[in-house]
Amino acid sequence: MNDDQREAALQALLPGCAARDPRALEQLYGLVAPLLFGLLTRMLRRRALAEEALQDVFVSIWQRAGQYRSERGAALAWVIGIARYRAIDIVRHERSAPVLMPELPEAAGDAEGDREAPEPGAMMEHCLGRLSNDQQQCLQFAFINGRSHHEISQLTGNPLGTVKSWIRRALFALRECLES
Amino acid sequence: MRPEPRNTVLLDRLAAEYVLGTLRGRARARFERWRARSPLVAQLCERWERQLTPLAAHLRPMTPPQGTLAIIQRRLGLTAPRGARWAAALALAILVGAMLVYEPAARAPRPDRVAVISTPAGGVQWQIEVYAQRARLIVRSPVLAAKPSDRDYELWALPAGGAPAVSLGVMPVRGEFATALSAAQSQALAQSAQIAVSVEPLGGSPTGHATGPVVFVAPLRSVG
Repeated sequence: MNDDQREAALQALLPGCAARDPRALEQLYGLVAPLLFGLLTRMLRRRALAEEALQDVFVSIWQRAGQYRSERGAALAWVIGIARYRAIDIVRHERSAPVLMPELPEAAGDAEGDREAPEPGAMMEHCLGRLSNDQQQCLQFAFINGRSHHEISQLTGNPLGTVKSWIRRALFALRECLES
Repeated sequence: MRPEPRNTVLLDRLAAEYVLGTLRGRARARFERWRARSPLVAQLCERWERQLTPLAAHLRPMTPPQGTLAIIQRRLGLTAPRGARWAAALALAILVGAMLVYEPAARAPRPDRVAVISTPAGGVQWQIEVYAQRARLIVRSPVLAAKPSDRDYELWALPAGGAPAVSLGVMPVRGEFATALSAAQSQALAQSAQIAVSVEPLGGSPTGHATGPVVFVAPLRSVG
């Protein structure tokens, strides 16, 4: 199933969740749970936390499905947003917890992945490619791995101010490229 | 309510950091509350979400632990639907080759209506897409459908008001297939809120009406 087909299915299933149709939830789970679980595991770095977070995310999707408006953005962006914000909230409350899994480089893949990963948008690939390696790495640490400015500074060995500046410039360079 | 700020450049920067996740602590909590109240802040965040999501959409998926869906359903006070149990029983049946009724699908624009039928594990077994303007139906079966070797699955439109079900053809066991809709099929679909799948002799029902058990009923939803 390609990205357009997945988006069409999601847009059809969210109103079903809003209408409290249990089958719609089951289908939506089958469609995006592996993607969201991969993202949550990466952001939270502890499987048990990611499992709990995944449950929380689907409870939220069910409860908030009626708030989704297709004219305001893609359904996939909406569900990924719910997952990411939940992970960020958990990290906020689990700051002192020990880290049991290392940072997971995306290139290394995931032995448990059982589906073909969809290709990122060609436009996004192009625009990311125009950023410096440092900028790309900082964006990935923040958006995909859920790291703070301070943590990225420690992970990369760069001064905090430099990291903040790279990220800010990267964000707006990315936007300028995506909208050009 | 806080008035809309004039410095949208600064606000946009905060929105970017919020969506990225680097806005933390109390500042994040404050911004979250602000977003809930301010259409401008919400709009700026949504724009960043649209632009940054592709960064996460290509991550390699991971299979969640078995039983997670059941825990979610329990938390929501739901129980597993019957169709899943039916499909689980059918998964034990013999697997056979592809069906004959459909022709290969071309890449299509967004459908008007979609129905999804799940596998026992909750994945997509069949996705049925209706393109009303083009009088076209596409059925996608991303995973092999299990069925008895001497039976086919047949798809039906279920018009509202008790009108007879109208056959839409035999379902593929795997792949993507498209078929043109007749005027009667288009009309029946336009009047249907649901589709159904029945088990029929090879090649489909000989009578034009469902003769075997109906194993799935799914809502046909409009795509926004």
